[in-house]
Amino acid sequence: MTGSLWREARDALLHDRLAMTCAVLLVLLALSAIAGPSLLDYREDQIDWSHVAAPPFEAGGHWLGTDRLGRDLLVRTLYGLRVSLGIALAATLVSLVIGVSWGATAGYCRGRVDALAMRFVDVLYALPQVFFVIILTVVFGRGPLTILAAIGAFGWLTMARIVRGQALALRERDFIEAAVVGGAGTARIITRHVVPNLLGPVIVYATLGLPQAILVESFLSFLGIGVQEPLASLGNLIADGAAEMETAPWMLAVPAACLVLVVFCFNFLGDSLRDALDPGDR
Amino acid sequence: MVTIAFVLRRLLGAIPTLALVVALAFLLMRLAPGGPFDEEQALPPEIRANLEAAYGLDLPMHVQFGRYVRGLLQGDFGPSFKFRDFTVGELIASGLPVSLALGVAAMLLALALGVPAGSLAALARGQALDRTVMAFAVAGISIPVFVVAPLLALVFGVWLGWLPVAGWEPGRISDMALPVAALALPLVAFIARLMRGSLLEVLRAPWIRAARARGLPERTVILRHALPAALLPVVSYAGPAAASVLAGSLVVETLFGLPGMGRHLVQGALNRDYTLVMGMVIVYAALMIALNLAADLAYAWLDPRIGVERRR
Amino acid sequence: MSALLEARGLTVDFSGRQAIRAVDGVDLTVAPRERLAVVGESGSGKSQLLLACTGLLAANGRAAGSVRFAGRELLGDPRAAAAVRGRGIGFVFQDASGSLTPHRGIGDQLAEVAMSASALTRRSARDEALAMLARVHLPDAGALAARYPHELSGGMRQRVAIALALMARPRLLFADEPTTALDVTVQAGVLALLARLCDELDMALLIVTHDLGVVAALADRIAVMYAGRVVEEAAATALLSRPRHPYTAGLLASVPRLGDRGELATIPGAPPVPGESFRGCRFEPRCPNRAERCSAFDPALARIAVGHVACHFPLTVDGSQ
Repeated sequence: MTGSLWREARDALLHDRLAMTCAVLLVLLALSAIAGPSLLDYREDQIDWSHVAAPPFEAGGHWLGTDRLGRDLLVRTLYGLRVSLGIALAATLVSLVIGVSWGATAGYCRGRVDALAMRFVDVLYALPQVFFVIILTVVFGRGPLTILAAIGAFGWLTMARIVRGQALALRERDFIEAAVVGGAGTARIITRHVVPNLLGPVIVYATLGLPQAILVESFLSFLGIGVQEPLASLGNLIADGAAEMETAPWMLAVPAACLVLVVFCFNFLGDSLRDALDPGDR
Repeated sequence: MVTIAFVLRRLLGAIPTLALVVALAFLLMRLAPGGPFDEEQALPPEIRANLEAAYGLDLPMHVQFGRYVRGLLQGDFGPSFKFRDFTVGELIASGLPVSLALGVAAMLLALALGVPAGSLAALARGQALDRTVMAFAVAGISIPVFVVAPLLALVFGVWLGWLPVAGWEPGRISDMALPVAALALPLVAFIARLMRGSLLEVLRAPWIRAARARGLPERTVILRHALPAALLPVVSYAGPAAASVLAGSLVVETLFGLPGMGRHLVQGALNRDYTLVMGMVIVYAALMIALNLAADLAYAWLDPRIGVERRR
Repeated sequence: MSALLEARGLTVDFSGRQAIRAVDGVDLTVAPRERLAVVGESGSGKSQLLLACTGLLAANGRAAGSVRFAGRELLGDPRAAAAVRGRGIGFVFQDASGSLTPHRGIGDQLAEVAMSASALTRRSARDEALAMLARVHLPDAGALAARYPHELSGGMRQRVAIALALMARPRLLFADEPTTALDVTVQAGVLALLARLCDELDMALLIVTHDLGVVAALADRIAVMYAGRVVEEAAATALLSRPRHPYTAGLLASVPRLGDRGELATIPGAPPVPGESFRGCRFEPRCPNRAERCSAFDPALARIAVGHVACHFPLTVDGSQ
């Protein structure tokens, strides 16, 4: 990726108002998740006996209402966002590291290394991901760490494929040849020359992979095999909300809206990034 | 082109995958720290030993695996550790028809809605119809099943009272309506997007222009020349689609209280019921592999160039 | 004898990041059973000419002016254009592989055209298809009809493409560089086939090419295009032996002849990029005979004895200025 391509992409992106709005929203949400709970009056496990299952905007300072145990919904949702985002980020990071190194090595080395490496990816790809994640939680216990490992264990596959494709193409470029002639070892070439030039697609797919990770984690937490009470995740908040939705619909609406907003923004941003870096005909 | 050789090749290719799933599931299960009886109230050691012997848990790993596989081949998935009165096989058999009906209905609905929606959006490119359909599509893929399902239940079940939100009587369509709709919605969105992109690309192909140049009416060009080619990516997507439907069915069955396999799987996961979970995973995996196979065959049937041995 | 196809002031513009005028005011006529060759380099707009006449321009293209087929105006009337395609004007594209639908059998595609053009039954359409395959000299028509395009060689595909273009019995056949993508050995056969078919089926032919060799054998009249304009148009024998426009002369001179020695003659410079604007004659930068007048005024297509030429100083009978 040449410098000018970056600049073109950045310009195209900055002009896309919707994408910029999404980016700004995400930043705001992330900030609220990190700093919000400390700025608000209530703690996430604090029970307010006088305002159990209260709708939003009622007295008591509970801006978005409370759940059936009297805990402030806004704070819990922000906490849930923190947990979900945290797990997703960590898992995506893991996927990134594994996927990029795997794919870059396979694409650059070609031949048998490539064939073997990608065969492994193909085989894993064919396995039903959700179910193995579930097995992992059964085996290793439920909780954030297991979820993280489980998501990361499957998330790197797509990244590896993309990166491998890019590396295959990159291999033919002149500067790679120059590096080889200059006597650089394979590992050095991969880390110093191949990987930095893959950053574009990597960023795109990382941005698109995050909402996937959030969704998997929320899915599991919703079913009860992910993040456990009293720890809050958007998933189990939604589950609680679903149980109470007839009498207290805000319990479902608030975390659901938060989740959908985050996922939508990431998806949209990722799409726009992808279009900016490689304009097809959308 | 679909030849016997092609079908056989694909079938043979599927077997190792299935074997791998079984092996992996087994391995993971047996690697678990602690055993399935840990959560019982404190058992005296002799009773625990007896229980473990009864379930064969004291035998070496490869012997256990051998016994398990032999059992599998005879259709025996072992006993459920938690539901003592039932074997896993029985639990699967009771839940499978429900889950299959749910899944198949959802996929058919998704195709029936998604393909036309995406095609119309492509044909009306840039106009209001296109933008509306695509806006819905983006929303659809951003809203996960476990949000859609409760929302649908809330709106159509509770507020409007049109459809029931729980219970399952075999054959009653209204019982199925909400679960199937909830399951199908994210899929409709994805398929619509896929179809639109695919059709737009096909319409740019030179042979479409050539078909028009022959004087064929536009309707024929779209229906018999463009659409079959545009359907290919959608058929390819059948595999991942099945995976997402299967995953979604876990949510939908739990939420709407449907007596399908999904609910058993979730219960098994919550109870750490190893044999149940393993059995379920294997059946689900087999279903997915079968569907992938069918999709492969459909693809080869649609595109005669596939399946032909090509010299590199 | 009234013209079969008559274009007047035909312009083709493309919108987009940069507005491009591919065809800039072309007048053309094709009489029944006549064979017109349009010659020009790539970028001269000759392919867009054909597409504009049949209403097949890309979405961002606009045709203006007048195009009449058998007296009926085609531009601005999508229904007329649709009616003319296949039945009035057949089209053979440059890339035969791009003319055949990959997922349908050859026989199917042929029969489909017959059924749509003249409401035949499936059986008779099949027979027609087989007959047409025989007409284009494809052996074993029955077996061939069951095949798919990817199973055929390039030359066979081109013949099938020709057959497809003829199924609706058009009166005029457009051929856009029909032999460019083929092996040299196959080219002559395809050209001979086209000539024979035009005779047998009473068709006129408009063939677009950059290859003068193709043109020499086949054409009754030749029109030379440069940068979106017709710069010379005359009867084939006249044009080939006594070109009037310096560009035509240059093209002819650059065709190597057996027995030639020494350097190949070329026209210096390069043709203008589509979208460039001009003042004065477009060929002026490359013309060996350019004068002051040429860079100031754009020469119009003027009638001369044997046809038309657009040049301020057309070459005289002995080839000099």
